[in-house]
Amino acid sequence: MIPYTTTARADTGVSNVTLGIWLFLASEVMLFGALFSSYALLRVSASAWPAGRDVLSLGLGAANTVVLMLMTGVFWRARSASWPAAQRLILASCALALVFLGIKTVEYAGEIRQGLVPSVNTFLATYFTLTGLHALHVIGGLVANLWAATGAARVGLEMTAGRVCALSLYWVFVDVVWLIIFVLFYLS
Amino acid sequence: MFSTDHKVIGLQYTFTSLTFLLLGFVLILIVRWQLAWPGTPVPMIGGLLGEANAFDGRIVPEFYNQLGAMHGTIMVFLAIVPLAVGGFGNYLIPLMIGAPDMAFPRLNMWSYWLFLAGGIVMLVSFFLPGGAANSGWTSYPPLANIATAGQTAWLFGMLLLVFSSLLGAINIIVTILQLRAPGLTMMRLPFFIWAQLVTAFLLLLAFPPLQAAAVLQLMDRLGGTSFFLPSGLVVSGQALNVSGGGSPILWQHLFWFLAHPEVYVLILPALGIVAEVIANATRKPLWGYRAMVGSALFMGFMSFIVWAHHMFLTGMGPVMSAFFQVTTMIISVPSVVIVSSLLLSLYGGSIRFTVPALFALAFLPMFGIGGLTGLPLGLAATDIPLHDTYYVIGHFHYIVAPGTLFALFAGVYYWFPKVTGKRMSEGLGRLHFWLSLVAMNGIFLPMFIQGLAGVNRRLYDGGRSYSFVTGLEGSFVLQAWAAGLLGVAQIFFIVNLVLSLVRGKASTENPWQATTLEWSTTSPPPHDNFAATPTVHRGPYDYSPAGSAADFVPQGQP
Amino acid sequence: MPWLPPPASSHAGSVDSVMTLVHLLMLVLFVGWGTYFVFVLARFRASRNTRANPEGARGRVALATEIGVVIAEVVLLVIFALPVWFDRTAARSSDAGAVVIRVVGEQFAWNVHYPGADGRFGETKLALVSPTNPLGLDRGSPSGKDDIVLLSLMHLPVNRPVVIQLSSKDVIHSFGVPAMRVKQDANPGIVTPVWFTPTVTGDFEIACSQLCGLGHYRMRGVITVESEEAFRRFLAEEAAALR
Ligand code: HEA
Ligand code: HEA
Ligand code: CUA
Ligand SMILES: [Cu+2]
Repeated sequence: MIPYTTTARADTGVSNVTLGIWLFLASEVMLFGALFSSYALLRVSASAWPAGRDVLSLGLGAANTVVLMLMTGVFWRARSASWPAAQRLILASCALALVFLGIKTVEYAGEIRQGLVPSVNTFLATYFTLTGLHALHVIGGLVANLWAATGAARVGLEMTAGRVCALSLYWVFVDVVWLIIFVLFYLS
Repeated sequence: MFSTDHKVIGLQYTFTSLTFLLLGFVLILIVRWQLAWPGTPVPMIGGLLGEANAFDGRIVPEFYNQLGAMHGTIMVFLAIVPLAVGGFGNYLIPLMIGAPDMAFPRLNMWSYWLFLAGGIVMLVSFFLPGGAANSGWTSYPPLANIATAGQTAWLFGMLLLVFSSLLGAINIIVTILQLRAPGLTMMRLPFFIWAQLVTAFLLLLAFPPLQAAAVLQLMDRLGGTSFFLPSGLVVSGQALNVSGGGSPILWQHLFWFLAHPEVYVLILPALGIVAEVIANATRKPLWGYRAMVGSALFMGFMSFIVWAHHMFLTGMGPVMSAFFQVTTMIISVPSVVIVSSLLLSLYGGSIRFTVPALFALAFLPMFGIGGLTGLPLGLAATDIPLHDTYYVIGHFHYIVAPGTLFALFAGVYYWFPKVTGKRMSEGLGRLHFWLSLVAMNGIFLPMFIQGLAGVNRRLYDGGRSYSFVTGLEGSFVLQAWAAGLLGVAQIFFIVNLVLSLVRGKASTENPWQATTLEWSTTSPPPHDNFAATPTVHRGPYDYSPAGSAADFVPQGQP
Repeated sequence: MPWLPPPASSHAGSVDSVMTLVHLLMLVLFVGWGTYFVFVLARFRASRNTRANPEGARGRVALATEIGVVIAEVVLLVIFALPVWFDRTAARSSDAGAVVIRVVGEQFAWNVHYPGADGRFGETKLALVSPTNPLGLDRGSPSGKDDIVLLSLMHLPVNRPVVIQLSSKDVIHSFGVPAMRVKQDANPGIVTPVWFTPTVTGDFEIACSQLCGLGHYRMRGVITVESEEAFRRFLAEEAAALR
């Protein structure tokens, strides 16, 4: 029906899904670009800025970094695997995403118990906003993963492969955002 | 209802946004009444507005601010953009490029429903305690941070609208680049398609910073943060209990980074429609098609680096403001090129003054006035007396109202036969046109004089306590009458739409004898648009070719 | 330029002349294109020109006007507008003879703060803010004893430069004085200097030019520009009232 959904068009060299995900990521870059610029501006003009290591839990943050990277790695394996195996890999990556969110929840709970809430200072305000938005992206990706893992029966393997391919790019983006967050908040 | 056919979705967008257009107009009718006769009961609807908004039918200042903020928001985000991009874009892009549908039909459906949800949130906000958002469509903090609950609804509504237009933009770009019919190279695309393509890129890249800004303001309002609140604020005699350390100017940068490209989103699709209608009505190719395409691309690119010309008087440094003055002057050049090309396209034509042609032709001088009055605003020195006066309101309304809105009217009259297979009444259309033209100028022309005299915008009583209003009271009354006339003119439009729908004369397949692809299928088009995928053999405007008896050759004809 | 209020400050003339020049350029463009527009509509209407000529306009007129517009804009910007603007924004702290005033906007009034005889502004403290002391001025401190605070009223001597240290207590306001061709946002948390020299005596309006809430429309102030002696007398009277 609609041409080039997953096959590349000769003169543009891409498929609709691939082009679509790149455009989506471009807008995401603008979103986080705006947020990180705001962070930079607020930090430069702040009179005091706590060292993230002392406030946040470096251990939990580092653990989450590993979990997220692992998750993306598993998902990328699904790209090249053939079907039932690929589906298992996607589900495994979903489990890892859940672990990430679990650790994040534990971290948030601990911080809130200590009275470290967004309204305390600009450091915590930016921390909660950026990690919260990042966590929303993980949740969104998780839902999309499940949708891709269960869609094969409905839309066929070719379409599913296209979706997995697009999602794998999305996860790399989510990782990059996390790494920047990790450096800016946990390591500084 | 939950259709994924781009034509159905396009019509859903069109009707929803026309309804919002009417609502935005009604809000401003109340404003014009209040400005002409401040503190007198609003006739007819005054009693319906609620005691909190209009005491004894008399508007209170809190409500006036809601009217202005919501008029701006509704017009920009719920009426004009969804009509131009969601309505015209969705309906016409696949037809004009010979595609069966948009690239992602389900995503398209989602865009519409997210848009509707955002619109409903905005509407419902009028019924919250304290009413709808009242800090201007610009929502500058700290004012917006401490405003009533309507502002929270505004932010949630904006987030929904941003999601909607991001999905829409991705869909449009992919559709245009990927689904062009065989033979339809980029340089054979109708200018309308180019305009939609650039528009979609602007939406895609400019909206996310507003999304970011909205998230930060929501955090400020709901999470108690201070992204936009500096330390040491005292509101109504009470020190504000927040951590402080934020920057109100940061919001302005994020907002205008979106909102300047946004104004080109308001004008580009309109230029696209005008170009199509003019080529058709003059029976000749567009003059300087390549230069127009280049200018549209350049304009799109430049629109990302002029935003701070809205902020000259915030106290920014001279180097920064010099930079933005230079870029602002540069960005006026592509507009001049496009308008000049359209004007030169008339030369040597055989001009048919049909109703769409009237609206499209009137667009040119109206856009000229609006664009030219942008120049004194773009020079910081002359922006000092003009900033935040009615001069600014006049500037952009000439572009968006007798400009963009006229172009959209032209589009409705032009493509109505395509969508319905019926014709609209020429007589009622002419009445609609002439009355609207007179009324629009009656409202907006006095604004330049008022602005030069120093009358500020957003004044509940039109500035009656100031001496600069002395001698101008009459102009406010004139504007109120003109606004009434504008309303009357729209009755002819609505009657025309309804009558033509129910018992309009059947139209021929190609009533305007146009060249572009959408006219090579039946009207209304079938579900998949074309019986067989068309092949394109020529440029978009092969009108009056030398050595041919017919005065047009369709794009699909070998 | 007609309709502008009569100029009342030393730089108003230069702003107005840029204003006139831009509007002349706009007028030329509009009348030029407008004449052409009416002409082509009449000349090339279908009843007169039954078949279009696809070649259309030729020649370099279009390009020439476009280049002309660019040149005119560059000249306007670089030769006329930018110098005026740089003059407006240049730092002028060195000016010895200037009257220095603090102006703090609040919903919906202007607090006008003179340093008094000692020429030094008293300290302001958040804790001292009250309905009778909107700025939280510390009257106990030596520099604060003699400070004069007025509400939405300002007295200025004619022909002497003024530096206004502008800021806000709550939301963004804008200090607009149409007759002086002065307008500057008053941002909370930031002090922005505004500099001008009144040249005409009389009363002039301050119009808040940034939406600041329900009372925005009535956030009006008055500047009384008077002779040097009258200004001295005003300061002396205010100082006497303090004692
Ligand atoms: C569609 C919308 C649109 C468009 C296209 C433009 C186009 C331009 N705008 Fe405008 N602008 C707005 C919408 C738009 N603007 C809005 C909404 C605001 C206010 C927001 C708010 O504060 O609420 C605003 C405010 C605004 C400001 C801030 C003013 C202030 O707050 O103090 C400035 C300052 O530089 C500016 C400049 C310009 C310039 C230089 C152009 C240029 O691109 C214009 C170039 C065009 C031309 C130069 C015309 C050329 C035509 C001819 C020469 C032909 C004549 C023809 C005939 C006679 C037939 N605009
Ligand atoms: C695209 C944007 C857009 C459009 C089209 C308009 C259109 C109009 N605007 Fe508005 N306006 C803004 C954007 C727009 N405006 C913005 C951003 C502001 C600043 C807000 C702020 O201060 O924050 C503003 C502010 C503003 C003010 C200043 C208020 C103030 O400062 O206090 C005024 C005053 O007259 C005004 C008037 C008008 C008028 C008379 C129209 C008319 O042109 C309206 C014409 C519309 C119609 C005549 C309706 C036609 C209806 C139909 C055809 C319906 C058919 C329906 C069906 C078939 C279902 N506008
Ligand atoms: Cu203060 Cu408007
Ligand atoms: Cu702009």
